[in-house]
Amino acid sequence: MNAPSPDTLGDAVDESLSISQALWSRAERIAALVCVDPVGLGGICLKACAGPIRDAWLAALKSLAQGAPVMTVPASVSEDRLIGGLALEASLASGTLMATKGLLASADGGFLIIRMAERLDTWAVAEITSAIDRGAVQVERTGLSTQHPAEFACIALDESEPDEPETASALTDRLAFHITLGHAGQLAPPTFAVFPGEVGAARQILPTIEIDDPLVEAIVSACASLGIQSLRAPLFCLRTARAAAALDGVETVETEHIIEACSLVLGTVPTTQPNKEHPEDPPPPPEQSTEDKSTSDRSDPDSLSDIIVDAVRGLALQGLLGQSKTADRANHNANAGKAGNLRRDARKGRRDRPRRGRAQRGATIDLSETLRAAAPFQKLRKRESGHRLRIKPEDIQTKRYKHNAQSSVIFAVDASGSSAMARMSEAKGAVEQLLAECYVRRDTVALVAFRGTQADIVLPPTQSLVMARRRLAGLPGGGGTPLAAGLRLAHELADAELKRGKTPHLVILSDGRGNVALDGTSDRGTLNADIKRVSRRFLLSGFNTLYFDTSKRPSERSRELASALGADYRFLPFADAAAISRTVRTSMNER
Amino acid sequence: MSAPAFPFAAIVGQDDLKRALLLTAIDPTIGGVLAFGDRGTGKTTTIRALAALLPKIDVVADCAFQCPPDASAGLCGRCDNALPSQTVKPVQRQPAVVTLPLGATEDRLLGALDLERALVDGEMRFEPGLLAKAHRGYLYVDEVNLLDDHLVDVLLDVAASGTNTVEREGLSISHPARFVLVGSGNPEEGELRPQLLDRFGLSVDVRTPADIKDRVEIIKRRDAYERDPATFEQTWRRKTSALRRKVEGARERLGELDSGAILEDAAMLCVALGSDGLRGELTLMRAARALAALESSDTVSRAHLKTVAPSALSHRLRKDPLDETDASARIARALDEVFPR
Repeated sequence: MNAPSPDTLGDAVDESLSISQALWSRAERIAALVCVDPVGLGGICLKACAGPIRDAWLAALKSLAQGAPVMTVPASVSEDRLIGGLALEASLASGTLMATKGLLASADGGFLIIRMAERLDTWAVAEITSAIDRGAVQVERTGLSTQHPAEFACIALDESEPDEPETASALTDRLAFHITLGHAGQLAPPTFAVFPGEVGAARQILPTIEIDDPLVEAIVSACASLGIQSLRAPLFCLRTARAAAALDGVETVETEHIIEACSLVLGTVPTTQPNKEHPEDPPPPPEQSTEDKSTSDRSDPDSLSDIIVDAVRGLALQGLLGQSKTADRANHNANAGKAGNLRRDARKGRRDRPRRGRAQRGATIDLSETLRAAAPFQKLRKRESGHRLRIKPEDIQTKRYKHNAQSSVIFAVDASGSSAMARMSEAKGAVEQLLAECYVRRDTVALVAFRGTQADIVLPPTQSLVMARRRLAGLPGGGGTPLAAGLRLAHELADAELKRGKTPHLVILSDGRGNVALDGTSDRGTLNADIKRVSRRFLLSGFNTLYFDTSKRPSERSRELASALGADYRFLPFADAAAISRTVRTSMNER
Repeated sequence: MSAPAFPFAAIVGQDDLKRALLLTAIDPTIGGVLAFGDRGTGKTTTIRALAALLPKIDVVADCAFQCPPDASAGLCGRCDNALPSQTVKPVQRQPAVVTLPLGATEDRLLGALDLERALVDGEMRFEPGLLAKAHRGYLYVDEVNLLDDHLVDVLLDVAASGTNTVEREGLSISHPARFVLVGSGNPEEGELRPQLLDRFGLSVDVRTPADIKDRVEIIKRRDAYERDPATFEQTWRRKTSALRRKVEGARERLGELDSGAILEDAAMLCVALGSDGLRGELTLMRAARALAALESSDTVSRAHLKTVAPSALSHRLRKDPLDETDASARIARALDEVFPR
């Protein structure tokens, strides 16, 4: 590849600047729209690194919000702080009952900003989505259940890297807009496209804005054409269009508002890869005159829907849309990165014996044990202070929970050569059988296949038989054997699972005869060196590994490879799926 | 302050889910509903809408455990003492539809020490949890396939015994906890334990309607509801009341229905499908009876059986992981075999 000449480099920089300018304006416009209809639009999921760009956007948002409450939820928020009610630690510390309104109720009429949204605990996601759905938060105090209004827009600040779990989809589904500012390039000074006063005026007229049926139909059609199944998407488009019309100060929604709304909301564009060399211009919105309200002004719904679809696709080609929301993203565990069996998520699992000591972050105070510990000293302490609650820090006992780390079984299957088909179908059968039993301990199963020149994760770790069936249907075989690549990928996956707090088990199905090295060549020397390196990793990490020799007769090569990997060797030439899964199950139980 | 829920009668489509929920309202012993489907298909809306439809029940005023005023057994401690003395005031209340949030603690579900009481007076009192609130009503678990194992254990235990017993933290409390369990989730995100799966009487698939006109209608109604919930609820009130009366009427008729004709049919169908255990047949019979009652029929017919068979049996078929056939296809096949036209 030739180095770019100065001219083309300049063009490239200009292009990236113009994209970043467009990204920034889009981000500002979205901020304004959300300020016009915070509850209806749910909020925004903002993917950006912490830094000046994100700060500038948040400052813009706050100024448009014009004094509405802005509450910030830290990544590891406690239950009483989020929902409200009795403030336990504060009460114990001060000796009198302290109540806290909670962040959700305090954000009513304004914004709830969630920092590091991808790390938010599951229970917190559930509470926030419940508040978004109901517009209220349920607070329990002394057997009384009261409801506090909690209508807000949620701004989820997602700081995840591309290969890390994202913010829970249960939350992002309820937010109309997904913006990526990470690659906004040079910081554009915040140019207010919309002034705070305009937002105020727009909010006033929002309830009165009408939208004609054909336009609604066009939105629904467009969403259906784009393959979007969720009905939240068209609703968000509808409400955004109204907000856009309100900002323009008109009484009825126009076609241009519809197109703008759909472009901003619909980040889901299936299949097409953006072709960077020939970016398609989005078709210009159809002409309209604000005076002429005759029916000819209202576009035929079908063609309007097509226009919307084209506009959305055109934006994708320009690279203006963020990552598409794929339906595949499973709801990842927010505890990724916290390794070890007894996790920081001390809220889950069976009760363990309470432990003495100060309340740690995230740990729950075991109140009854604490009171029991303090009981003998009450009379004594009464003389010391006039407080009702005579509890000292040394009395505090915290709750501990324990639960077993789940297992993650990773198959690495040699899908090369002529016997690949039989082998693959055995492996598939074993995977499905294991999955049929997986629910018992919440284990997951994954499958890495290697053939030709590379290895692929054919089935990412899943507990779902439905997903497995879908992914495993019709897997191809044949080609060379990139043995080192397959082993390496399986090991990387095992490492990732370990980071997520699971116990990985590896199952390798191969005849040990690799012929393609990591760089794609068939040099034997390179391949052997590659395999040596990967084997060392296996040995160091000490993962429980099973090796099934699929050669016709037990081969020395396989045996050597198995021992180099520190794996248990098994010979099963005419392996049937049931035998494989039984052996794996036994091996897991022994660990 | 809190807006009225979206009216059940205004929900477009979702016929299987609506029917399943109505059947459990008519006969709670059917055992609960499992609704599988993607996000944004409106499952939660329908389940919350059910609450307004349920006929009111008589409860003892101020009782946190929804005790019935006319019962002599199955009462909470306080009512057990108070009731014989006739000083108890009954009130009418809508049965609760309680949501179990994902990630809820055991304390929240079972009940725990009343913290404020303990802090203020040093007394150990029991604060009822979600199970107490759900008694004689519904417990809704969203994303039930992601529910923590130890909570699943609790639910299974309580569902089997009909009682919640809390023995810890110096408390020893027992109270009745019978409710209809409703779960929803996306099957691609995980499987349910078969013991939990079995607890659900009926299972349904919920999908966004394919018809554009239906989708448009859903959007329009949702939009109208959001702009003015009170007026929207008012518009649909008559239909909601009519539906409620239908459910009440069906409950009364349930006892008088003659179901002898289809007992054998139900058994044959279950044998043909190889469904595990007897619960499949029981559920099938109960669901068919409830449907017949809802449709104001005098007898339970094969048609009723055929309508409820998929929802009663899809999740009970012994899973052969290597068999690719869809559950509903298997049921349709069995129905054709057992009841040839």
